[in-house]
Amino acid sequence: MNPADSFQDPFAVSGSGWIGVPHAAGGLGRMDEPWWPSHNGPFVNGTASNISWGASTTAQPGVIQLTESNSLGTAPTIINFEPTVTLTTTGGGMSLGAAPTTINFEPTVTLTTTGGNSFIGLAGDGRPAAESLAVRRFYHWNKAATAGAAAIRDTGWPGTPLENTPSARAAQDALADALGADQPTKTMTIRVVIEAKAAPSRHGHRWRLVRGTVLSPRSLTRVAVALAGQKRSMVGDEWRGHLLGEPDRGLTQREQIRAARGFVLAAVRYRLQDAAEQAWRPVDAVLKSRGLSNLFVLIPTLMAAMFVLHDEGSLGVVTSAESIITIGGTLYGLVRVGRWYRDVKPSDPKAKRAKEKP
Amino acid sequence: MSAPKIRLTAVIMDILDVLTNSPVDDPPWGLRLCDQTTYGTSTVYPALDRLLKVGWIEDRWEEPPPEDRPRRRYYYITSAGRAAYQDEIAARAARRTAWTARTLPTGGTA
Repeated sequence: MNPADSFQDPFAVSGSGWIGVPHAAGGLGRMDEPWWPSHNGPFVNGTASNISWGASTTAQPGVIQLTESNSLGTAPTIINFEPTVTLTTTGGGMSLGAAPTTINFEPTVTLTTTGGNSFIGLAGDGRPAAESLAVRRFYHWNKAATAGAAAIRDTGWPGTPLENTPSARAAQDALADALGADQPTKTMTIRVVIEAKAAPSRHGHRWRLVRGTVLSPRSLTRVAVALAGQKRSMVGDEWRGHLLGEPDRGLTQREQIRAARGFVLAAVRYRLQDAAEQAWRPVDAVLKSRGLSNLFVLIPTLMAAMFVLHDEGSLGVVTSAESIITIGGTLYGLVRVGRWYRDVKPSDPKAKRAKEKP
Repeated sequence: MSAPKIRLTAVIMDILDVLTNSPVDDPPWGLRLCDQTTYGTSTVYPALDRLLKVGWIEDRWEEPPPEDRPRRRYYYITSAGRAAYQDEIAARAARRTAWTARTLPTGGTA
């Protein structure tokens, strides 16, 4: 059986508060609620010969309940269109569900079927969009050990449902064949991803190709996490979460790319900070220790004095005293400025002596 | 050695401002800090890293980790950070007052 064939049959949604509108091409039900944005209706698909749906709204705002009954004689299944939708059917045939399309849409839908020749069709688009959203529909065929989902984008609702177009059918067929749809089904979870469309820029998708590699926000973030190093591997979670945004504020593709570029820059800055810290370490050691600071000042000063003494004798040392003192003074000044700049305080010699006394 | 010195740049001050004024039960995380300070990720995250190193802020990971998305890293200001921020605010106000007193005419009797 080719699961995609089930879409040939019309399917109706009816019930209190619902208006079933079988699509002219068949296979698509549409809910028209006054409060429902016209382009964001949930969709259900099925075979009229096997399954019929009754529907009712609940008193709770934002929660829609569908009651499924089918001709296979199984118990009705109640489906709550809450953030997580769980559909359970028994027996062979077809199980189907619709993605919730409330504004608080959560991306996880769990579908469970048992029996052979099962097929889960999940269709729906996302939340009411502040920005243009890509519409995605998911078709999911089960196999004993593997699972898969196909997303068909830009279905053009409320136009002709894409699943009924020849090209979409070809895609569905290929997927069904690949997954071996004629297998007993298992429980599985489909993650529905809603992605904002990237608004094409004046220069086209500049971010897209660098030597044939797609520089998506995710891959940029992966690069950034690798650049940040093992010590900061936890930023991976943080940055991936950043890209996902908040429930009421998803990032557009453009914003994601900008953020991901920022992650790369941030990772480079982390590394520069680390390198600077390494470079300052010996300097800090000298600044912190009075003995080393004194050596830092005295050794070059004494060396200069020795050179003068060697070349010009004692009188030369006296005549060059000003220069020698300038060297020492400059180095001492450097130590003081360095301690201030690095906020380093040398150990107190009195305290050290007191500690050494029994 | 004392904690590393940190320069109180506008970015650092803005981040501390957001953290100071955030409710404890709804702490900010990276995205929110970027939104509220209007700085990009390349500026905010390194600044947060510096603040963590000097101990002016601390981080806590979201518990329990959610299943449907990566866990968030929340940031909180510490008492040291709050004191440093308030000291800097007071110092800036004092400088402003002194500057105003120097530059503006004090007036006199007619």
